[in-house]
Amino acid sequence: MATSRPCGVVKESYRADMSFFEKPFHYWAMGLFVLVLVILPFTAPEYYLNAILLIVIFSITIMGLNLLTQAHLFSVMHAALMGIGAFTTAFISHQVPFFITMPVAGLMAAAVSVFFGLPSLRIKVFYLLFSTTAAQFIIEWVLNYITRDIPGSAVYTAPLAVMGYQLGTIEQYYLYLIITAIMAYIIAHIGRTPLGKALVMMGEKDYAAQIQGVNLLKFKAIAFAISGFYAGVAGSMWSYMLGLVTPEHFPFLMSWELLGVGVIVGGLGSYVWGSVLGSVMIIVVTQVTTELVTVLTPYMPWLGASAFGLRAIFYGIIIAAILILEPEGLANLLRKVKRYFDLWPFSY
Amino acid sequence: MVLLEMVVMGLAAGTIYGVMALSFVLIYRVGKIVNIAVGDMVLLGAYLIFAFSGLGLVQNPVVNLILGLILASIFGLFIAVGTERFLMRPLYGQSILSLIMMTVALGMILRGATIVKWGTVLRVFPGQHEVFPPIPLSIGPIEIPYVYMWSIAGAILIFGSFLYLFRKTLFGFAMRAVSLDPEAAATHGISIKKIYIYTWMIAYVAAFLAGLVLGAINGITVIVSYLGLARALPAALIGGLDSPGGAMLGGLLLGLIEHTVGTILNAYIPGIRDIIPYIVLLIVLLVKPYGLFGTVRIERV
Amino acid sequence: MKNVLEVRDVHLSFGGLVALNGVNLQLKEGEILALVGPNGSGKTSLLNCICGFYKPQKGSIIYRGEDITRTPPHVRAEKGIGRVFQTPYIFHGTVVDNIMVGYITQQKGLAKLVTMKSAIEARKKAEELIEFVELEIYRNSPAHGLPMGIRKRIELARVLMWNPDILLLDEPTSGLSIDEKRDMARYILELNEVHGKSILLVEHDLSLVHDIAHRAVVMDAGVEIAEGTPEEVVNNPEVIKAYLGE
Ligand SMILES: Nc1ncnc2c1ncn2[C@@H]1O[C@H](COP(=O)(O)OP(=O)(O)OP(=O)(O)O)[C@@H](O)[C@H]1O
Ligand SMILES: [Mg+2]
Repeated sequence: MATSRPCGVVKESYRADMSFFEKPFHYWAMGLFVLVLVILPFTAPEYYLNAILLIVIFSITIMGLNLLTQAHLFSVMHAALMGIGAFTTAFISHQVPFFITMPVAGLMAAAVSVFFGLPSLRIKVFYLLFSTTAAQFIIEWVLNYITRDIPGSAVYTAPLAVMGYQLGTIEQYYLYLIITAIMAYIIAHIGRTPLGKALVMMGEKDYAAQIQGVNLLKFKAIAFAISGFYAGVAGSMWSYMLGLVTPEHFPFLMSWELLGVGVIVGGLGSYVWGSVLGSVMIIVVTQVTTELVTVLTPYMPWLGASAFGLRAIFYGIIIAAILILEPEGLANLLRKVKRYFDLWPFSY
Repeated sequence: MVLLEMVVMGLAAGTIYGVMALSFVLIYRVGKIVNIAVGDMVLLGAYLIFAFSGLGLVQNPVVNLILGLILASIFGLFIAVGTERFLMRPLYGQSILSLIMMTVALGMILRGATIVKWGTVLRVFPGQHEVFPPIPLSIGPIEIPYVYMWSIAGAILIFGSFLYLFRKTLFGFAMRAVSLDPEAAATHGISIKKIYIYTWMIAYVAAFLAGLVLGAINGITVIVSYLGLARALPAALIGGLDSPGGAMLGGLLLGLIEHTVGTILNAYIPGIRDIIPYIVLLIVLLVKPYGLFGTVRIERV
Repeated sequence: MKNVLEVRDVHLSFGGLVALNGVNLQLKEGEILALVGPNGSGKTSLLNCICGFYKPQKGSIIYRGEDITRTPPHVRAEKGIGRVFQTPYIFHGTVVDNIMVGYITQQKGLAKLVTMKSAIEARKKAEELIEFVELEIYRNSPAHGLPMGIRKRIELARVLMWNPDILLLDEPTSGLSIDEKRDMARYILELNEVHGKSILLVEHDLSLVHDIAHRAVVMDAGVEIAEGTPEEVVNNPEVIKAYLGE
């Protein structure tokens, strides 16, 4: 079970329980992780750096989506919400700096998210998948419609700059890491407060939650707003990274990948690590297929056009395998490893 | 007169939406599974028919295409067994989200497989022009494309045989029993596994028929899968998700709205017709969440 | 004594099935009122009307002189109506998680829900209640899958988190062992006597009703058939007939 604790771990105070690290060993592991992230850009080729930036961006969207899914509000409009954030940023980035565009992009996406989330008051569970499917296509259509006079529907984003100083790829990478750390901290914190618990309860037993004073309208709106905001910020980061956005960047399929691979494979309910793992999975599979196809094409020429298809097959197999073998996702595997080390040297 | 033509077109197109919705509704009704892969099943059907009729087993293009459909359907039966046995069965009794995600995985695998096998270029059925002549068929003052004749005939055939199966045979009885209460049905000697497998088989065959029609209308590309999902969901929803008859009526209604309201609006806002099904879907969800014919459930506390 | 809660002529039906057919009931300040009746007599439905889950077709619910018939459930909770369900609603999470949720009821602003301070406050409160319902050893175990007796206590603690004025307890002792029943009865008495809660108790166990309730109301087929002290009610021939049949 996700939240069970092994014997031998005793918390003296609530602060200890709320803190993110439970043992000195965790500090070390975390320190090592951060160190790796910091020196990564100097060791990895630029090509990989882009993949890592994408991982960072997707993991932010998935954090919000994970929270929303945990409240049993299933959404497949998150690619479109990222699109809203990206387009908002592209349109205003020439006038205002990134620390304004990002929150504004987040708020725009949050507003749209709440708007399309409102039917969740009347409908439940999978019906919400239908309405958010509709939302995804309607948003996509609207984005196409407003950019219909622009050649290729491509809107250019101003380069990322601080006080007139233009950031290079590596600086951008550090900036994105910091933003991700902040977003991760916030979502983890929300998960630990009564609000986070109330969202979980509302998802599972909305009647029982109401009797605890949960105003369904308010709490569902909050959940949609938070997760929309995350998607919007991620979209904004995407927009700066690519330098241009088109509606084709945020297709319906991407929404399913975010939910299926990002949340379910990563680990539902594990807001930070589950999301990061899910995001890693999305990008790694993409990279691996691309490279596989490049390597194999000389021998199997017909493969050339089908990287896209191969990727879909891999995603499908991974989702199916996770659902059957480890329904709590990769985060649970991570947890098992952690528990192993927690009890070390008595881990059996 | 133009309006009349739109209405006829809408109803004709609606028949095939109804068939897809039937495929969706069956899986939902019997297994309580929301089948997001329905569009991809349609896509797979289109490609399989393309491949089997491409063998050119018979001279006559019409017979050839029908033979292709039959062979594809037989192939589909095996895929249905595989789907049920290896993907869905391990998950029975799990949360609704798991079941949905599994159909998503199924969809990804099916779609991915078609892309790997057939690439992304637009294909047309062999003998497309002989079987579905580009000049429309005129009935009195109304002109409708030939392909819709196939759609209507196919819908009548599949819906008729399904209704017969569902209402008149022991199999249909077992199916209804399983859909009401699988455990109780099992204790009365009905093999749930078999029922689930047969249900997936029917769903695949219905989807393949839709693949033939959608593939003929739009050409065979991955787009067909989105078109399929986009029509099947609203149609099934209008019908209330759990009634086969409702699915067909939902399909007809959706086709009607798309070809009347959609066509008219399209003159003012170019391109809006593409999202009409989704707007319909949203409106239905907000106004009548359980559809026009679905059962309203009062939740027990 | 003053009435805290009044149910006036409540009618409720589901399609053709009449669940409540003109029920009247008064819960007085500081009393334990037992509501008894055979299965399907409409006790749970009545509680659902009081909480706002079901909308009665006719009649009204008065809480402290205020008509709350149209008030949504979460607002009724804020006003001070606490409810424990017949089957406890436990979500995935630890026992503490399950209890902490109760904290949000009395917190109006969103900001109060997300600060570190509130989280710590909620946890402290939850710890107190864990002590009250004697669940210390289960504190951090996953609540799902614990035995019924424990789950009922978790739910009781969750409701107590926000200190409701009146408690609606739906069969708090059904499915419990003798010992667990005795514990539950002890909590109910303590809540009533020490903390002054008014309690509406739905209960099948007449000996328990006899022991702890001040007054009892008997329902059958959606109508009230008897009212009085537990002794009077138990010996009422109509009640015996309803329970045992002809
Ligand atoms: N949501 C609902 N839809 C339809 N009928 C309902 C609903 N809720 C309750 N009923 C019916 O109303 C009647 C009263 O049910 P209720 O649950 O109130 O009885 P009860 O007195 O609590 O019984 P028990 O002692 O078994 O808990 C029953 O016949 C029940 O089937
Ligand atoms: Mg009851």
